[in-house]
Parts: sequence; structure tokens; C-alpha cells
Amino acid sequence: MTRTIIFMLAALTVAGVTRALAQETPGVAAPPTAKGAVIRGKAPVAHDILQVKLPRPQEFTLSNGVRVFVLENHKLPTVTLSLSVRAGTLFEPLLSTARLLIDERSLSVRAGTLFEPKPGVAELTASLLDEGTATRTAQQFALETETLGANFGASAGSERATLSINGLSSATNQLAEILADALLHPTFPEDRLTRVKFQTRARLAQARSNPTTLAAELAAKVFYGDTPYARVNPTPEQVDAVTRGDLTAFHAAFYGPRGAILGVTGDVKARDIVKKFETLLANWNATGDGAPLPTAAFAPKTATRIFLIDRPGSAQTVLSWGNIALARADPDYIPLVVADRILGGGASGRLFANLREDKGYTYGAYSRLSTPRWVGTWGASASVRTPVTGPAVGAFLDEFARLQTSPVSADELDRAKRALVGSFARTLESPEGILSRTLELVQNDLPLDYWDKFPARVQAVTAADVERVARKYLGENRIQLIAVGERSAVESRLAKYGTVEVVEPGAGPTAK
Amino acid sequence: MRPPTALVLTVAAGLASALPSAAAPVVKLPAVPQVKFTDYTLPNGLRVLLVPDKSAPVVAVTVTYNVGSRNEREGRTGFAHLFEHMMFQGSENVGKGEHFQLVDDNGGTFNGTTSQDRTNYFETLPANQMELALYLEADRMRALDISQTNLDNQRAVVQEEKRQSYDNQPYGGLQDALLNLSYSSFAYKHSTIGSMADLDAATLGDVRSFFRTNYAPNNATLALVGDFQIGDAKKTIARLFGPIERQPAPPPPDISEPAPSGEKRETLNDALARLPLLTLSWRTVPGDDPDFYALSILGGILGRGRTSRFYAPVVETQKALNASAGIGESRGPSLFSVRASLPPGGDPKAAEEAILAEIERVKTDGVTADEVLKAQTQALAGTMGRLQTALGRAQALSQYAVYYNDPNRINTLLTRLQAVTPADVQRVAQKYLTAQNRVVITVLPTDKSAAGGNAQ
Repeated sequence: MTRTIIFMLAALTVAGVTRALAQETPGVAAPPTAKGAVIRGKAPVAHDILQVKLPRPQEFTLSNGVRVFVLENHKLPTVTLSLSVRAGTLFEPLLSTARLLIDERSLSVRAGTLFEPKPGVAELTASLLDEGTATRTAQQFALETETLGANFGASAGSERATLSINGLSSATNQLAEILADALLHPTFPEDRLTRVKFQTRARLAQARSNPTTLAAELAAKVFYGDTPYARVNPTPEQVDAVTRGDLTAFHAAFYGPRGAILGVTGDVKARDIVKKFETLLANWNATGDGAPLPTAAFAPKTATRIFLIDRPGSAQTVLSWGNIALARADPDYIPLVVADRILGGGASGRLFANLREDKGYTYGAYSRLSTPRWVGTWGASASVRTPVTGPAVGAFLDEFARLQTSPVSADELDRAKRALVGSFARTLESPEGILSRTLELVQNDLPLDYWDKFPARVQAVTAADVERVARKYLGENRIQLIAVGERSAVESRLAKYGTVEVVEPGAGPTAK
Repeated sequence: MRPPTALVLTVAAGLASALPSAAAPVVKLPAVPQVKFTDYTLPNGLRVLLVPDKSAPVVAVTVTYNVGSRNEREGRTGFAHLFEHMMFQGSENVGKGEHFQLVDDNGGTFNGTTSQDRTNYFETLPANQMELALYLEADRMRALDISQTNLDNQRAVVQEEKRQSYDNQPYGGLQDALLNLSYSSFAYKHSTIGSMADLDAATLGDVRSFFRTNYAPNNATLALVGDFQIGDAKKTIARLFGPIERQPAPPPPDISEPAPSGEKRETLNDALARLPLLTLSWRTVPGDDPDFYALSILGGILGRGRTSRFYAPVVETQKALNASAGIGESRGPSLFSVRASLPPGGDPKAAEEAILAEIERVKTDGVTADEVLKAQTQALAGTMGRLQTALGRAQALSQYAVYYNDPNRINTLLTRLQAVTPADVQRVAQKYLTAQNRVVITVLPTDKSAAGGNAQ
């Protein structure tokens, strides 16, 4: 629910720009023998990988326990401040507990009892942070921010809600004050809540016209069942049911300093910004031990199921594959990253070479590894024209099988590793990128020297490792397929590959 | 914390004392970092722009060709973009798919994009791969390898791109309708993605002649930004690009437009949309016209942020969910557009009236100096981000060279925006945002899709 501001001023790009491939690119390696590629080997390549060491942001801890990471960069006169708290959607089921305890003047939140969640509370709380504070009306908040040329945004993810503001570094102190005000003193005015709910309902209706949104909503339910981890967008009715009391309670319970992380990049002095926040957040005190994540165990699905969402008028079929895989801190993470790049990490991945460059079924086919702090998913997807839905399913299955049964060549493996290690040089261009690599470690309880050791650990991955993780996480006849398209044209084409279960948009799979 | 009301007063006082100077600092506006570049042309006509920058161990290369969909002929819409795809299908020394591998495997990123006004190709790589980046661009500029199989393959890919990005998306037909109503010249009247039938009609002969005519060194600008030695770069560029032969310059497209002949309106029914969408649009000036800068500031004042002119009367009243405004830079007549999403069942007429009333207010009463300053500050802060990466600078420099023969626009654009006065803003609103010059398009969900929107 980040507030999107449309930049049209003097935009460099022109409306209607089309490009050679969709705008997500990190990639690697199809073998020279792969379909869709011809390797001549004549271009001049520097053999050495440019080894870089990522700069480590300076780390501080405020007296209330907030961890602060600052990466100074004086190239441009700008600054970005970003503060995250453990107040994401996963904590919604604890809200009722929290309310009881707040009523008793005891603010600690205990794990254990899950109450019927009120979906939407986490996002609406974040969305209302700039809609009025104890000392600023929504209009004053906007006027100050916009006059400074700054952008403020707040949104809730699964575990964390993040507030961020960026602007000119000459206004750093004012930006910090605005951020702290939104964090500490939101008043959640009733009339603003009504307005934001109105906007949210419309936005959700629009999002559900997108076939990939429909697929993602069903995927969450397929993989995470009835747990809070299956949380998808709230329904219009659920949005309506959220009250001002829910927001104040959720804010009081979860917008605390325990587990909070402040990230700062740009043209600032680390000592100055830390001192500033020490003052601004002086009265922000711990409210308990911080809530643990809901407990839940997830195992890979053991039998393939094919789900179909009917979307009349579709010009293509979205094919979205996946299964439960692993958490970010799992030791299999690095071999699986290598396997993922070989399968479909970009324009030189096997899926792209096969489904696009050889067969012309799609604009792009990619795999995707999602590794949150809990057990994530590994999968792949493409949008293909309706008549080739059947053969496209077959091509995906061929590539999944090939990765499990044919050893990766030394050349293809080496190229995947080069890509992973070589891309670090580009990270140095972006202070925000470097900081986010550090925060990834902090949020997943990984050691801060992780990236220093990453290249050697990537180099140690063998072809046998790739085959092993491919078997373990793709498996034979275990992967789940979610298709979104024109049912009348697609159902029979999918039926060749197994029983097709038709699911209503927004619904979950039937129990099995 | 300082009481916010005090801050607001400080802001207002700062503005008042500084009027009418446009650069009065509320927040102290920093000097815009200047991009210093070397600018020279090879004997074969290839213009080269070099920016050494040791702040990160990367190099970014962009080749911008002076050809876009505005250069297409009737019956071949979408061809410039289809051709862009062919540039990744192999050249004399780089096989089909090898380009992807060479960049990816060495830790780089790449892409190509086509607009009405130009086509660009770019890659960012670790600095030790500078020669590779330049080689990939030179080899395909010199000797593209064209085959029927690859043409058929990429035709299918581009048609899937059209389905994925337009035909299977809500409002996918809007761009076509907007261009068609806004322009008279064929050059700008049609969209870059083109039509399925025209894509089907493209032949190998079309590909060959398009390459020879438009992909000559004298029709392109190369920009190299990053961690390199300038002497080394010049030598490598001369060796790789020098032997490529110059070609006769292609004829410029006819982009002349008659005077506006009255308001044009269209309503589209969209089975995939859930919300009504309203766009109002006016044909204005090229990006290097003096009025362009005031139109840019006008866009910010009308439709950027919660303190913009449209917000209270259009968005707060729930006539629309949002209302943005701005000018899309073109080297031809740029379109100034307002776009508003409406709530389900919203009344497009009421939203349009509220939007037009605000525009009338600007024409009649003008805008304030602090509104202008706010839009200028936002433009300054927004532009900084685009200068951060080597690629951002390479793309801007080469594009401005191709569009306006003015790569230094990367340094002067903000100065020009900061010179805009309230009187300029009022004048351009009066001059261009007229009923005579207006195109209004309303997209309405069909009944079926509207019903679907209520399902969760």
C-alpha cells in the first residue's frame, strides 16, 4: 500500500516504450547445445572476475535497542531514511490478544493463541500513518513533504511494515522529523480511514483484473493452507470491517522498537543522523519482548495438482508453477540459487531459451526462488498464447525433468557461478542496493560477513549439488500448476497432463 | 521536535521574502551535480560521448539510434520494435542467444527499448569487461546476421509481448486511441507496438533494408560512462567501430501537424478493466521548445501529490481515486495529459468537469510562486536519482544528442525548469490547454467485467 506518486515531470522515458525483454533481468547460462542459442565464442571476454568487497554500513544501536545501519555516500546531495518495524500482516492474528493485554495496561504480546484475524489491519495501519498525526493534519503532512521535494511511503509486508522517506540531503533533519512523527504519533482520523478504505477497495478490485495477481493469491493458499502465511489481499468486506480501534490497537502493540531497524543511505554524516534519531526516538520504549512469528510447519506438496482460474476474455494463459522449498538461512540456499539461475534466472536461462528463443510461445519464461525467513517457494512462470498452452506445459515439464536427470555441464555450471559472483560489481553503484544486502542478513539472522564468504561458497557448488537440490525441491510429479486463462479454450489442453481443478478467483483449493 | 505549524510558517515566510525569484530555498537547494563529458565524432559519423567515473567498478554502454516507430511506413507498424528484437538474434561473431549469455555470465545487465522517437541498446558490466560491451554493440552495428527462422521466432515473441503487455491488460487499447486522436501525421499517429497484421506482413527484405538505412554509424550515438581510461576507450572504440561504413542519411519523417480542429472524444469499452478511466490530452511542443519547461512545471502543480490543484476538488471529493498530470517528452509534439482512475460506477462527466474547472482557474487566476517552487524542488529531487547510475547518464546523454543535438541538456534541463515563472505557467495553460486542442478518452468496464470486480 505504498502511496504511488506518478513522476511525469521531464520524464526521460516516453509513454509506449517497448523493450526486448521484460524489465527484470538477472540471468545466467544455457548450455552451448541448448535450443535457442548458437555460441561462436569469438567475443573478447576478460577471464578474471572482478572481485569486489561490499562496503559494510556503519552499525549503531540506539539506547532503546533500535539497530541503525548507515551507508554514507556523498556523490549526490540526496538521502533515504527507511525504518522497519515488526508489524506486518503475519501479526494480524495476534491483534485480539494484543487488545486484551493493552486493555489491562500490559503491553506485552504473548505467542500461542491465535484469534480470528482481521485481514487488512496491517496494511491500513501503515497507510494511515501519513493521514494525520498529533501535530500535523494530513494536509500539513503532505504540504511539508512535497515542499521539501520529498517522497514518503509506508507499507506492510508479511513480517515488517516499512516507513521510508527520501529527498534532498539539505533537508535531512526535517525528513527525519517527519518520519518519526508518522511512526510515533499517528492519530488515525475516522474520516481519513473512511477515505483510505474507499481507495483500497477500488485498488483491490483493479488488482484482481490482473491475471498474475489471481495466480499469486491462489498460490499462497495452495502452499500455505489455512495458516497466517497464506494471507492474501483482503476482500472488500474485510476492508470494510476494519475499525479505527483496530488500527490504534495494532499500532500500540506492534509499532515498537524491539526488532526495529533504521537504514540510512546518502549524503549524511553517520554520527549526526544517529544523534538526531536518538533524540527523536528517545521516548519510544520497548513494549515487551516482540512477538514471535506464528508457528507453522510446511512440507513440499507430494502430488502434482493442476488448478485453473477462468478469466473470460484472456488473450494468454498465465502458467505459474511451484512448490514449497526452503528458508533463507537453509544450507541448501546457495546450491539452489545456482540451480535456479541455470533453470530460468534470466534471458540466458534454459526456460527462456526453450519457450521463447526456440519455440516463440511467450515474451519471457523465468524461474523464481522466494526465500523469506520462513519456508519459501521455488517455481517458474510464463504467459503464453492460448493455443499453445498444452505444448508450453510440456516444455516446462521437460526442463524441470532435465535439471533433475541430466548432469549440468562444467561449462554451464561455471557460467552460472560467474554470473552470481560477477554481478556484485554492479551493486557498488547503488548505496541503497548495498544497504539492502546488509539488511537482508540482519533480518534473516545471518552473519554480517556473509557476503565476503559468498563467492567462495558459490564456487564450491558442484553439478551433483545442482542435481540433488533440483530433485529435492522440484521432485517428480510433485510440482503444483496454477493456470489463469479462458477456461473454455484451456481446460481440455491442460487435462492431458492431469485432473484440472477449476477454482473461483479469490478462493482456495479444496481440501485433499 | 519542532512544532510543525512553525515549520509551515517558516516555509511560507521563506517563500514570501524570496518572491519572485524562482530559486528561493525553503530547504536549501543544492547545486545540481554537473556531468562532464568528452564529445567527438568518428570519421564514419558515429558520435561518441565519454564520461570517466571511478566511483564504482562498472561501465555502462548505450547506443541510441536515430530511428523509432515514427520512421515506420504505413503497413509496417511495429517494425522498429520487431527490428530491435532482431538485434539480439546474432551477428557475424556473436551467435543467437550468445549476447544474453556473454552479458549475464559476466555479471552484467542489458536490454534494448524502442519508442516513437528512437531505439536504444545498452549494457552495464563490471569495468574489466569494457571491451566486451563495446564489441557486442560494434559487431551487430557492422554485420547483423539475419535469417527467416529468427525473424519468424521473434515475430511470435513480439506478438506475445503485445498480448502480455496490451491485449491481456486493462486499458490496453488506450494508447492506440490516444495517439490516433491526438496526431494527424502517420509518424506519431500509430503506437510503437503496432498491429498484429502489420507484424505478420514484415519480410526479411524489410529487415535488411531497415538495417542498412537506419543502423549506420552516422545515424547513432554511443555513450560510455564508468571506470575506464579515456585514451584506452578512444582506441578501443576507433578499432571496433571505425571500420563500419557510413550510409546515406535516411530522410526525416514528416511530423507536421495542422492547427487543432476541435475537441475529439472517444469512449472505449474494456472487458478486462474494473474501474472507469478518464484521460484528457493536449498536443503541445517538442522537448526542446522553450514552452516545454513551463508545461512540465504546470503538470506538477496540477497533478503531483496531495497538495496539487486536482487533489482537493477531484480526489478528496471522491470523483476520482487519483488524478495525475504531466507532459511526456517527445522530440515531436509532446502530449500533455491528465489521467484519472474513477471508483466503480464513478461519473466520468463529473470528474472531467472538476478537472477542467481547475485548469480554467489556472488560466484565469494563475499559479503562486510557492506552487512553482514546489514543482521545481520536486523536479530537482526526482532528477537526482536518474543521475546515480552510469547507465542513467549514458542513456540521457545519448538520447539528448540524438533528439536535439544537445547532450549537455543533461546539465541544463534543471536550470531551465528553475527559470520558469508563474506567468509562464499561466501563459502555457492558456495557449495549449484549450478546448479546441483537447482529446478526451473514457474507458468503461463492460458490464461483465464490472460484475467480476465485485467478486473477491
